[in-house]
This record gives sequence, C-alpha cells and structure tokens, in this order.
Amino acid sequence: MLIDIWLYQLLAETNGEATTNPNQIWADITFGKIVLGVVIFMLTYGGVIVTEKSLYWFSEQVPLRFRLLIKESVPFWRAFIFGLAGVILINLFLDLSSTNLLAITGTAAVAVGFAFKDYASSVISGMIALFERPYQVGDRVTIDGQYGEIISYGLRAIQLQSPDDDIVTIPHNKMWTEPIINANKGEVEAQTAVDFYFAHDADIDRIIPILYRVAQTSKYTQLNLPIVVVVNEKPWGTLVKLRCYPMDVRDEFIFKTDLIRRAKKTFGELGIPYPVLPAIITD
Amino acid sequence: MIDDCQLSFPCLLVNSRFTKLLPMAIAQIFQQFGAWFPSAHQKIKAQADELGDKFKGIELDPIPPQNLLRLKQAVADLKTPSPHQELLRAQLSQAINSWSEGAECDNAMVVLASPVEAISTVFWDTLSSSEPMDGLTRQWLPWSERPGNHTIIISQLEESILQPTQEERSLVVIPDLSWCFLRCVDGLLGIERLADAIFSDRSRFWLIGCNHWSWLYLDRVCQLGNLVGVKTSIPPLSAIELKEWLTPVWETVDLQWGEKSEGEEEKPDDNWCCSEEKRYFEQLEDVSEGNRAIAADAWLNSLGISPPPEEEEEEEGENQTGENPDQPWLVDRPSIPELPSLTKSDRFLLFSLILHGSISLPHLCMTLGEGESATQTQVQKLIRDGLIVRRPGNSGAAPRFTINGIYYPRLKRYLDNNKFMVGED
Repeated sequence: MLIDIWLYQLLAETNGEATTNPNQIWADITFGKIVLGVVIFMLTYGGVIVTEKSLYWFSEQVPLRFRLLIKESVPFWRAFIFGLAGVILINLFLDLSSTNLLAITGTAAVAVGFAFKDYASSVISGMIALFERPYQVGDRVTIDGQYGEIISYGLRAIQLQSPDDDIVTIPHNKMWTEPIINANKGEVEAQTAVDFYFAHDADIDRIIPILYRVAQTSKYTQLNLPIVVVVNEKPWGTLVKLRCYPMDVRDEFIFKTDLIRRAKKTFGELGIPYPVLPAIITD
Repeated sequence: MIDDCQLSFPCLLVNSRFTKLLPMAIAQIFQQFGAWFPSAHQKIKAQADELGDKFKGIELDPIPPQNLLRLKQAVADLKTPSPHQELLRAQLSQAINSWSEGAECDNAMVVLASPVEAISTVFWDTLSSSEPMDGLTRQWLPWSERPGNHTIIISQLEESILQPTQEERSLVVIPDLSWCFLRCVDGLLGIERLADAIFSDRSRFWLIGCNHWSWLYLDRVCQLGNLVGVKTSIPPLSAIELKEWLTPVWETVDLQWGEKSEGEEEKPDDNWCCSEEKRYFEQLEDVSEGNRAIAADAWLNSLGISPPPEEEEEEEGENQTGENPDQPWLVDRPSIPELPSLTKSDRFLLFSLILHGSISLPHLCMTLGEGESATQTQVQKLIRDGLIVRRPGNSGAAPRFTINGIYYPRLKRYLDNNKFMVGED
C-alpha cells in the first residue's frame, strides 16, 4: 500500500500533477460492489469448473480423432474466463487512469519480484507454453523423471496421471530447466517399444518375422504407422526391440502386454531359446 | 503528462463507465431474452416438428415377423444384378486376354466388394452361367467359409487348389479371400503361400474375391497389392438398377406408398410407374450408397402396416384379435438407424467382424486375444442391439457372426473416426 502511494506520488510529480488525492487509485467501494465482486468471483470459479468438466466430458464422447483437439482448448478457455473476470474486477474496484495503471503495474512488479518469484515464473512459463506448446492436455510426457498423461493444465502447473494412477503436479517453470519428453505431441498415437531377450544362438531370421506378425495382428496396432524390429547384440544375449504404435496412446500398456503375451506364446511353441544369465550370489 | 490515448486498449477495457454499464447491459439482454424466448421456443418447436414429420414420414407398425423372414429369404435368393455380372465378365475377359498375350502381364485379378456384400455369390452367379473363357479349365476353392481350425488353412489350400494340375493353363477362383486368413500370428500363412503360388505359377490365372477392408489389411501386412496388379471394384447400383434388382421380390407383396407426393407432380419417365416410386428408389440409393445388401435391408426396414386408429387399438387390445391379414403394407421413407452406444472393446470386436466378413466365436476370440466367455457376453449384447447377426454354420459347424448390413455405413464412419484402418468402398 505504501509502495503504491509512493509510486503514485512519484508519477504524479514526474508528470507535473498535484498530488491531491493518492487514494484516487481505489474506486468508490460500496457494499453493492463488494457483493458484485463476490458474485463475479464465484461465477468465474464455477464457470471454470463447469467449462473444464464439460469439455473433458465432451472430449471423451467424441470420436478418437477429435479427443485431443477438444482437450487442448481447455487452457485457452480457462485463461479467457480468468482474464475476463480479472478485467471486470479490476475495473470494479480500481479507478484506472493511465497514471494509476502505471503505478499499479510498478507495484505489482516489485511485489511479484520479491515475494512470488517462483509463482510468477510458473505463471509466465504457463502462458509461454500455451504458445510454444511443448505439451498440451492429453499428451503423454516425461518431465523431471515423471511420466504420465497430462490431465490438467493450470495457471501455475500441469497435472500428470501416472501409469500407477498417481496424480503428479509439475509447475510450468520446469520448462526452463528440465527437458520435456513428449511421446505423442497432440496425436492419439505414440510409439511403444517392447524389448525381447534371446540367447546368442537363437535364430534371428525366425524371430524377426514373428515379431512383425505379432504387431500386425494385434487388435490395438495402428497399421497406418510403421512397425520396426531392431536387433542389438549384448554380452548376455540378443536384444530385439519391437517398435510400433497403438491406435490410442491410452492403450500403451495393455498393448505392450498383448504383444509380449502373444510373442512369448509363439516363441515357446517354436522353442526359441532365451538367454541364460550366470547366477550372482551376494550376501 | 501522459496522453490517455497512448494507453487506449487497456483504458478501453478498464474504463469505469464500462464497469457501470456492463451489469445493466447484461440485465437488459436477459430481460429481452426472457421476453423473446417463450414465443420463439414455441415457434421453433412447431417448425422443427413439421420438418421432422416431413423427413420421418409416417409411423408404421412392423410387418408380421414370419412375412419379414420370408422376404429376407427371398432377397437373399436374388441373383447378382446384371450390371455387376456384365462388368465382372468384361474385366475378367480383358485380364485373361492380357495375361495370355504377354509373359509379364499380371496373372491375378482381385474383385473388391463391400464387407456386407457376398462376393462369393457374385462369382458363383457370374461364372457358373458363363462359358469357360479362352479355353481355361476352372478350379474353384471348394469352401463356403473359413476352415474351423485355422492352422489347417494352408494344408487345405495345398490340397484343393495349389496341387499341380494336368492342364496347361487354368483359371483358379478364390471366391472370398477372407476365408484364407485369420488375424493371429500364424493365421496369415495361407495368404503367404497363396502369394508364393501367384508369383511362381504363371500357368494359372488367379481370380480372387475380397472385401475392401480385408484387402487393405492384407495389402498392408503381406503387400498383396504389389502382386495382384488388376483390381476392380463392385460398382454401386443406381436407383433404377436397384429397382430392377428388387422387382422380383417387390412384386410378390402388395405395397402402397406411405409417403404421398404433395400436389400435382409430373409423371417421371417410363422406368418409373409413379413419382413416389422414383423418389423412393432415389432415397434408397442415397442411404445405401448404391450397395444392394444395405438397400435390401433398408427396404425391409421401411415396410410396415398402418397403425390402427386409437379407438380400434383399444378394442383390439380388449379382443386380442391379432394381425389383420387384409391390412395393406405401406412403404415408408428408407433410412439407416442410428448406432447404439458402443464401448472401446465393442469397436475392436466390430472391426474384427468386418475384417473377416463372417467369423465363428472361437476365431473371433483368437483375433481379439480375449477369452471366450468375455467375448460371448459382448457378442450377445451386440446381437441384442441389432449390430451383429448370427448365422448357422455349414454342416454342423459353429455359428458364424457378421455385422448387420444396415448399420454398415454408420459403422464405417464411426470406426474411421476412431482411427481404424477402414476400406474405401
């Protein structure tokens, strides 16, 4: 409060104005205005919740190809509703002439600079992320070692739903320092890689076609996207990696299970040997 | 002094007059809306009802089930439309001539059809009545469905059509390629063997029938498209062709038009007996996209009996007299029903059904990688919803399941929107 009076005086003096009434920055605050302010606040809060819930619900009802399109719009609507409410509330309680506006922004800058540095950093990062789009709602990302689907895009942070159904909150300002690994980037498909291990003497020429068939015959596979089998030699055996895409990234783990289950069954029937590792005995 | 105009945008937003006027303006808008809405609502509702009635036609009671069954059988017994037969003969003759002339010309031709079209019947109707082409002996794959055990597909193919023959040149007919594969790890061996035979044995011409979805899948996983150069599709039927095809069954029932033309309309050309008939078949062509299987289902769906007036209905309810055999049948506007609500696992099941054309329960479970009991209950639910049809298997084999043709157009769009690889028919 003291800072903004001081800033107001400073600005007024700079501009050659008399400092007649520094409290002019506040509009007349009446009981009606307070009630209106509370109503606007509640409407905003309710509006954001209703908008989010209805968009999330709607996104699950529409065909798969439109799901992420709708989810991606949630942060925009949230920002729009908050922005509109902010403007109305500022208008209601503050008398913003051009000089007052400068005084308030100056005050806010100082306050934010000292007290809410991290918070402001997260909010600004969130706004930048809206345009740069390193992640969007519905994407599956890894940030700071945490993997999951983004289920909420807040003002300060995003929320991930991990494969174990944990909700992980990650502030937007991690964007400055941490690498963001996005598995699907706005698409409903994301590559799934499954490792298979075999003994050195296993017949790779039999294994590779089987793995292709396993992927091609899974009900989850998106056949419009490539299927690749990659072989790697390791000291303990042969590592074969099957890379393919499920139609819906949410089926990632069940897809993996399906691939492994059917591949193991076939390898078992054909007697393809797995690596035998030396036993390590520890205390 | 800072000029206020320099900050015009923020000032516009935060202008105090704006704050004072906004609630008043909103209140006024609500007031006006409140005054306008009741009358407008009535008006819109009346117009919507009128429009709905116009498009929906009249509400009819269903025809007796035994009659419906009889008509379904009669439609199933209809011959393949002559435009399809003529096209197939012409294309086949052309492909065989090219093959006979050049050593490097394609020795295989695939005829693609919609998954609800019985492509094997098209082949049978077309080729059984025609003379052998170019002196070629015909060798048919003697199956009418997929073998019960998918692991013997390859050995049965070897026995029936892949054995070397005495004839110098022959025509091998595979009426439906979907009988030769199952979407599981070892279910594509038959297709691989066929591909080898087509590539290596150039003394035979291979005529293959397949549905668009199976072909797309097999092309993606076995690259069959590279091997079979000549592709042709069963074309859609026009309104008049649909009428000609349906006429033998249509004539067996006494039908009246439920939807009468408004006012005086010009009599259409000689192909049509009245303007209602012309309009009906054009609508039928439109909803079925020219597919005769869907058109037949839509036609049967559009048949009904005029409901008795309410007073009579009450009397009938008291007397329980049942159906009136003399009551005329009416033809309503043809339409395709809406899809019921479907789950993600329903989508996988329906896609598998369309991909394989018709399939038994054990095979369906194998393609889905699911247990039999879970799949059974799901199939039962979809049968109840009308999406799946159960057909008895041949000579005591397990029953087969297919999708109900009338849902096919909507199902195709639905699966396409859900990222499934759907065929372009």
